[in-house]
Amino acid sequence: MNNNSGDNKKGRFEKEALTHIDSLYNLSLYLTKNSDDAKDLVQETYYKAYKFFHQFQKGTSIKAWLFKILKNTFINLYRKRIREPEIIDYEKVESFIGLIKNNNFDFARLEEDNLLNKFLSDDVVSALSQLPDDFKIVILLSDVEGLSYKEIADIMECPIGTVRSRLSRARKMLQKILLNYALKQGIIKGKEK
Amino acid sequence: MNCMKCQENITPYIDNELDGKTKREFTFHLDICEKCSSFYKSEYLLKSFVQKRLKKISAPDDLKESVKESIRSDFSYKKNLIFKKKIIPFIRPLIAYAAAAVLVVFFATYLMSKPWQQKEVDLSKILLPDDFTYVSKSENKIALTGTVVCVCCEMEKSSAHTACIKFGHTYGLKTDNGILWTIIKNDEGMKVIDHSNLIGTRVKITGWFFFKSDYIDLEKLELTSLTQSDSEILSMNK
Repeated sequence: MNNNSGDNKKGRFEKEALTHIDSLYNLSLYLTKNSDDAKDLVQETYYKAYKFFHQFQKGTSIKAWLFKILKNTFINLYRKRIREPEIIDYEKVESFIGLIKNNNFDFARLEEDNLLNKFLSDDVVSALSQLPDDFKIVILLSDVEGLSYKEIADIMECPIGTVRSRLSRARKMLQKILLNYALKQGIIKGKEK
Repeated sequence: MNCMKCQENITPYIDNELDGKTKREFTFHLDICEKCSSFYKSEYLLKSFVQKRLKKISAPDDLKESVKESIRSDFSYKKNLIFKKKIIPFIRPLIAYAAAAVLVVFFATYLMSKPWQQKEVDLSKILLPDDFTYVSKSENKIALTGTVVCVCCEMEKSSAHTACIKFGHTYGLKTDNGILWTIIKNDEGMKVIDHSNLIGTRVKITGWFFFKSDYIDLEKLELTSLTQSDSEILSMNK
């Protein structure tokens, strides 16, 4: 490789890949749960992306490609040594569903009662952090990054149908966690049967 | 479109992933079905709520800078870039110097305590009965009178007596001030240990006393009040 094409690669990579650093860091932070590991993960992602930049297919989304590298790097590097994230105690959540169902609590009802603004941003962050990794990733990629199902399927290396069902389940879980929280905090009150 | 099919389509409709035909069928069903319509509204509200509330956290400037630097240098010093390990090269020599200094100090203190000289034990600090006599001061060799006892039984540990019957007594000397000494099981010590009927007998013991651990390395045992059976034992031992 001559000097000229090397500089060319650097320039192209910096221009195309570096613009997505905020998105990568954001996802990285949700996955690793601490800023040092998140920084390391982003560094490692850029290192691999740079090394295999020639394999990137022009015309496809570089953002999706970077996310895929980040996800795989995370699985290889961190999942092994970090304890699996706390998985929601579904039984606990289930016990609340009865109450929620009884009183017809859902986000539509909260909206009507003008209660959605009672949640803090931190509540949403902590609710999302409680989801299993795969569910966390689809929510972030779809709702925060605005990627299409096809792009997400490509990143997660799963069928589009799986993306749809994971998103659907992830949103249901998030809603339950948030309603559960709202009940505990007294934002909504469970009525007697 | 029935309710089941409609509910499957809620998520992709919200994410704008349905084709035109399915989309029309979906909205048509929502118009006539209150239940599906409320499910749709909840999920739609949740998505927009998450989008509104989940603020994207930007990458810190130091990360941006270091990635930019790495690209410009072709990731040639990649290893130094790992954030967590970055501090180590600075700290490592510091830790080494500190460790060396601590070692030197410890060694100096150790030398100053003159370990080659046998330490004399300050017996005034140790609870000993009044009648002890030194045989050899430098070796902590003394003579004491007391009663032969089973240390376990004396300490009245729960189930000690049962254990003693099963595994045998732990022979020791109880001095008049109540201190219990355990007798080390060596050749001399075994002379006491082998004769269970010595328990309760008053004896004078000469030996090396280990004050910290309350052990006696027995040299000589003398009976102070001889009973008939004691005399027999002594004559047997001789």
